[in-house]
Amino acid sequence: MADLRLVNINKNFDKVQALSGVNLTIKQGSFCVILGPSGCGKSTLLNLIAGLEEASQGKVYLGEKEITGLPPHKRNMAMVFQNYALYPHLSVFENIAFGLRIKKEKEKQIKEKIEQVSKALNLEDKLGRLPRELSGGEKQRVATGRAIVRDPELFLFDEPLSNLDARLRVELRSQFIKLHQRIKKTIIYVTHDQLEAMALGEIIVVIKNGRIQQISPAQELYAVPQNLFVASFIGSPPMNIIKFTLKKKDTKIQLIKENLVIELTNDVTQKILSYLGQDIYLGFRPSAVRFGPAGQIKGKVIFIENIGEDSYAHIEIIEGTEIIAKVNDKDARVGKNSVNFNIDNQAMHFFDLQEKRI
Amino acid sequence: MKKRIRAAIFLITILILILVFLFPLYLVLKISLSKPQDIFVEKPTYLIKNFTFEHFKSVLLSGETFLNPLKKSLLTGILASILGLLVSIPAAYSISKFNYKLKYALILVIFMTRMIPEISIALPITISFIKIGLFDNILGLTLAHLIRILPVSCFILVGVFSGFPDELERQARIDGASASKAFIKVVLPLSLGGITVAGIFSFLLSWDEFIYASYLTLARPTMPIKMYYYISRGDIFSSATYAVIITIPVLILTFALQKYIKPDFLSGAIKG
Repeated sequence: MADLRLVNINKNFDKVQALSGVNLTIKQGSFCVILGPSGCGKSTLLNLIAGLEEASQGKVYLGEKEITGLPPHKRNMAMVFQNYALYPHLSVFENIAFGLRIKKEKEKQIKEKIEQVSKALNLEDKLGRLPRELSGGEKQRVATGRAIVRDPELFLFDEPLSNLDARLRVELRSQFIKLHQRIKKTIIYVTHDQLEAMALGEIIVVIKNGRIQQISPAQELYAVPQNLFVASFIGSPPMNIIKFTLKKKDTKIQLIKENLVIELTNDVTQKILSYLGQDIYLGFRPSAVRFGPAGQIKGKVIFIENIGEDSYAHIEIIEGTEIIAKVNDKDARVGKNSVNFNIDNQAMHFFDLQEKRI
Repeated sequence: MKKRIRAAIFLITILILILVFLFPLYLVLKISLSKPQDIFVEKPTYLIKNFTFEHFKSVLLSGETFLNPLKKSLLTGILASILGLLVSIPAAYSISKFNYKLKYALILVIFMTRMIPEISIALPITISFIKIGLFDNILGLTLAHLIRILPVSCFILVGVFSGFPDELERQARIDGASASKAFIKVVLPLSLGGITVAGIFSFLLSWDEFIYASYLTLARPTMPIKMYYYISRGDIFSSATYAVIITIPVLILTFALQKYIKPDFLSGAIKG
């Protein structure tokens, strides 16, 4: 058992650069989620760790040992694919036993281990079945069982829940957390679903276009996004992002866009002072909106979305610019056509034109 | 209404085509089951007037005259399909791993060996086979038949292995299997359907082969050569009977082929 280190990884497919300049250390025993939109290179990264792909450049270390060129069967890692990849000609028992048989373990040991695993995953009465006779959730559990039974150093999950329906997904999500608590091994979990990532990951790695955007614990990712992409990708509904020009009037700092003027309180202006006269991006989450008659921003409510406990108002603040605001019970007056509100200055995020956090 | 007419036209066309294709086969069957007075007339009838099993009896009960060619054809066919699979399975599996362009090019190159007419290479092959003791025996004929078999069975198997889900193989590698073990434990058992098809096809290519057999045969003929022997002697009843006997396994195996082509064989592996 050891930390996994990726150093300066590049991966090209023909002319496409799938990964570039990836540096990543995953601590032993942690639950790391790799998050990104589809096609961002996250599965390639996982295949690289598993040894199914070879990096064009860079090195992979497990502890002090370099494993860059090692074939997958010498890495002692387990991987669960998105579509489970159960062996269709083998029963559930033989599917789980496959890795053990390759290792030539004794029949008695194999039986014991599978008994244990199938009990933990509630598969005891399914052992004799063929994969095609299983439901989606059961297949997923068999695939997980096949990974656990080998007692690998590292678990790799490639979107293991994305083929299941929403309810089952939430149910199985908690299974992964319990599994991690029990086995205390490193888990690397790839997903494009930010809610899943936030729910599971101790550490989340956000990737876009083959580059790592941010590596942070879930809460920090939400609270302090390092660039515009992370800001807009994390959170649902997404963060509102509007481009403003930063100006100074008398002693006040103002954000100006067309005829919309937002005056900032002095405590937030320190870090953005150097951008006076330039354009910057303002980001704020729907929950940072404070309604009130004295609010300096005026808007027109287009419609209100009710999602169970929360409601979100879509408000047009200038022609063609809409924002989303969270509505509390006491903001019932929002239902009216026109509203006034302020943005909580403490909850504002600023990004420069290179989309980096200020 | 329009749809029905179209369906009817389609059906009739198919029926006519089937009749055209089956007619020669019927004639052979008819000759093999008719008495000479039905055949050796100026205007033979389409139906069998004087039915007889005489010709089948005389062929089937002719002892070694019939059994030796049958044995040789069967053994050559079986040996050729087994040897063919042993060579083409690894070859096709390797080719299937290349990218699309290279795969296509390689298959094309393999098929180039078939561009040379068999009748023109049969003679040099025979000369060299005589030198190394492969003349007029099963092994020699088998090797010659592999010239026709290998491209076809490679072609079929490249298709089989290319369609194999990559993920199952990757999973086996992850589960600790080396590349060769993953092939033996996962790819091979799951490709048995396709491999069977390639094997049966190989057998059929050997079973009715004539040109190589005619060059490489002296005293021990195969079934097609034996049939030709009767044709050249004008015994059309025996040759028709041989023709029917040669056709029967082809029919059976072709129907068996259909059973083995199961597109849903891999269901349950991928997706729910």
